[in-house]
Amino acid sequence: MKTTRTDLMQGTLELLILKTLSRQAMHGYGIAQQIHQAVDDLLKVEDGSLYPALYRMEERGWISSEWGTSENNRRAKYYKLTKTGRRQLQSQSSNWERVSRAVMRVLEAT
Amino acid sequence: MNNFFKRISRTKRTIANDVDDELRFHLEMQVDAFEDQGLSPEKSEAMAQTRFGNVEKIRSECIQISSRRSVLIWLLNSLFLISLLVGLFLRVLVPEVHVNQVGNMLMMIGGLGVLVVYAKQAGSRMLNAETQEFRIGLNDGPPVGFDESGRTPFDRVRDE
Repeated sequence: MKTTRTDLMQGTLELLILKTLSRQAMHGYGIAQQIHQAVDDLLKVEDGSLYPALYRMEERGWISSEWGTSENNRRAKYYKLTKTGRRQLQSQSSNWERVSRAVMRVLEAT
Repeated sequence: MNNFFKRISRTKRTIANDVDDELRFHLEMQVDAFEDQGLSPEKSEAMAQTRFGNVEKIRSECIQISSRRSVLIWLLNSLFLISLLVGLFLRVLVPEVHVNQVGNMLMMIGGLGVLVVYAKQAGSRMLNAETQEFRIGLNDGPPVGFDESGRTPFDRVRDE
């Protein structure tokens, strides 16, 4: 069966990153892998698009970064969620639920 | 507070180098993963690039985001603007000559400072424009994306 891959909606990537980082601190590559696994190839996520999103989120204070050593002994930049980021995750998650419930209602009604 | 000092001590070059290191790490990890799945190094590089997207555009965007709100620039700008305004206030509203001179000095410091800060920001934008042509290489070998004859990995895969 052919799977259709959908482009990621504006702002959704940030929510996916926040959720991924809520489990543990990770480097960009790790975040990308986790997201690919989670969305099971249903959404089209270009790995590179993660980085500008990560930089913007760090600028807003949602995440912080630190250089460390990766699992294979390479220098890697690790990101972790800040308190503001956790609050943002809660707010974005409930907003997402509200929007998807509303859209589902419209779809079911028509 | 630690973060504050980390941010103000970062120069344009440091920012660019950090972005390069981070993106290079990602591409190298992805190439390794594809090679572990049995793909040839060339195909792995090509697929890693495809999966990543436009490296130059992303690099430039990351540098821009990192540089644009440098805390130091913001602080300096605010200080110079305040100095300019206080100087203007003293110059115009206070009649005493010696206060006028202080006003003149503050206006001069503020004005020059604002000019220098804007010039530095313009320099940062020029650096970003320059680095548009930069290519990120893997494992210090030839740059990813182009071989000696100028072919991209996509061309190589297509020709095989």
